[in-house]
Amino acid sequence: MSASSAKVSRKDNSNHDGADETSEKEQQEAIEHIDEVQNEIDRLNEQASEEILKVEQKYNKLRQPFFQKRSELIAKIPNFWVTTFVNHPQVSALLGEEDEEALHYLSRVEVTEFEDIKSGYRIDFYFDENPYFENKALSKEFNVNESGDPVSKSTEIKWKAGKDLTKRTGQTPNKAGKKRQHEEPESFFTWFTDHSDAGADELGEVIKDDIWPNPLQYYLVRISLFILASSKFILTTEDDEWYPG
Amino acid sequence: MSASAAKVSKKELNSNHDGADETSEKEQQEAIEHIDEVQNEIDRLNEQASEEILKVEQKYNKLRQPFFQKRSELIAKIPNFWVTTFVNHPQVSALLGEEDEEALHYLSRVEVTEFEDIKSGYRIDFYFDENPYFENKVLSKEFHLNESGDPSSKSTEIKWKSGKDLTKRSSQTQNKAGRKRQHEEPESFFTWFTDHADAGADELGEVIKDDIWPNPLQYYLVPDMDDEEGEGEDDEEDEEGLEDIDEEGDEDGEEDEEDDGEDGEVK
Repeated sequence: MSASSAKVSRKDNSNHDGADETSEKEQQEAIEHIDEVQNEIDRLNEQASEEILKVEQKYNKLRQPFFQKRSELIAKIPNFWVTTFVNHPQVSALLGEEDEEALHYLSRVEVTEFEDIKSGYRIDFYFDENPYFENKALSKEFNVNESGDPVSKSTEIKWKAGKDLTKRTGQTPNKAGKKRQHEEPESFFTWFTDHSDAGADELGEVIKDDIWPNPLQYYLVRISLFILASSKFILTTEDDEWYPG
Repeated sequence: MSASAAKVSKKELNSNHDGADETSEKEQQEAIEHIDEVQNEIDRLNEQASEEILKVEQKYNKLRQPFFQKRSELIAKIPNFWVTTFVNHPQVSALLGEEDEEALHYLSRVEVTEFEDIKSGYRIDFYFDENPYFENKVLSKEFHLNESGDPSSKSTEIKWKSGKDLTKRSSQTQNKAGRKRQHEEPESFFTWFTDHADAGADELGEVIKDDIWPNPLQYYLVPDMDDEEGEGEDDEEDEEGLEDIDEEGDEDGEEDEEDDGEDGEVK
């Protein structure tokens, strides 16, 4: 330790009478005591973190049945998740035309934070049978390896022949004015093979922190705007005559 | 809410969800309303979680208090503890002019106080011994939220002694060769007390509150990068626990001062 730091006081301009009176030995002891006190403070900080973690775990459990119920209700609404993704500014930027087509088969999304929260989370995407891939579920998981570094892993997508959206040079013919088509073709589904930035995966965090807590707000966004614009169509009965645009 | 939202789902092109198709529009509409109710319950739980977490933070702020108090008493026994700590901290030292350091030698005590409800702000108090620069015994800067919920700050007005206003010096003491700090636009550490432009993200305030205050000793003891050799001054007992202490580095700090002697810079 720094026994010699006590010597710092021996300067021309020490004007701290109180401190001058303390000998070097006392100063050295003071530093050691500060270190002990600091250890106590650190201990309290760790305890605080543990208690906070317990609160978060408790509420994760309390929220579970509500998320479960919510998933059951969402299953009754066709195209809930693709609509939600398309309505979310950041996510929609990642969707190619055929991605949207594929995502119509997405029936359910689940975000699961690991029990100790710090070590990661997983996002599961459940799909109905579809022309694009065999899998019933695609998952991406984020966790921390033994060294404490963030890592991620995903389900391997079993694409059907000729349907690998991550290998299309361009997706379906461009519609006029759809900027997305002119950009470098990148499918939403490449996210499942990209593990370069596990510690700060933008899409993962948007889904976990922004969409999953309340997807309904995004599902309803465009619909609310549409309703405002065509107010005369609001609320008829069960008849289907009312169609958008 | 959007009763008619359910109708949008009937897009000819791509409804391929048999299960969902079977649910009528009325059922879909009801489902949306139910989701909204469930969402409200989730939001309620989130608020409760935030409140409980706040209580934990408040509890530990109280538990830490006596240790911070004890620490302050111990620090008072060590001359120039705070000026050394500030000078050793990379971000803070960049803000210190030559005479700032001189003035900061009179800084005997620093206290950071977070407000009870934590969210609403904090205050940093700087206690000074009698000094040639200003009359105040204490300078404080406080960060809080105003009625609109916007961050704002306020500080003690510094009562500078005549000719000693460090915030009005066109440059501080004569430049030493190669001391870049002197050639920069003269800005004193003390201008921080009058600058309230960025209360929501006050860099110095947050460095002091989040980086230095939790453990200033690590910066006090940091080795000086300039010098390398030790002179064996550290012949006394090497105590426990401070694994990150570079003893030679500490000695370097000492050497630097003792060699210079003239203007009392701590580095």
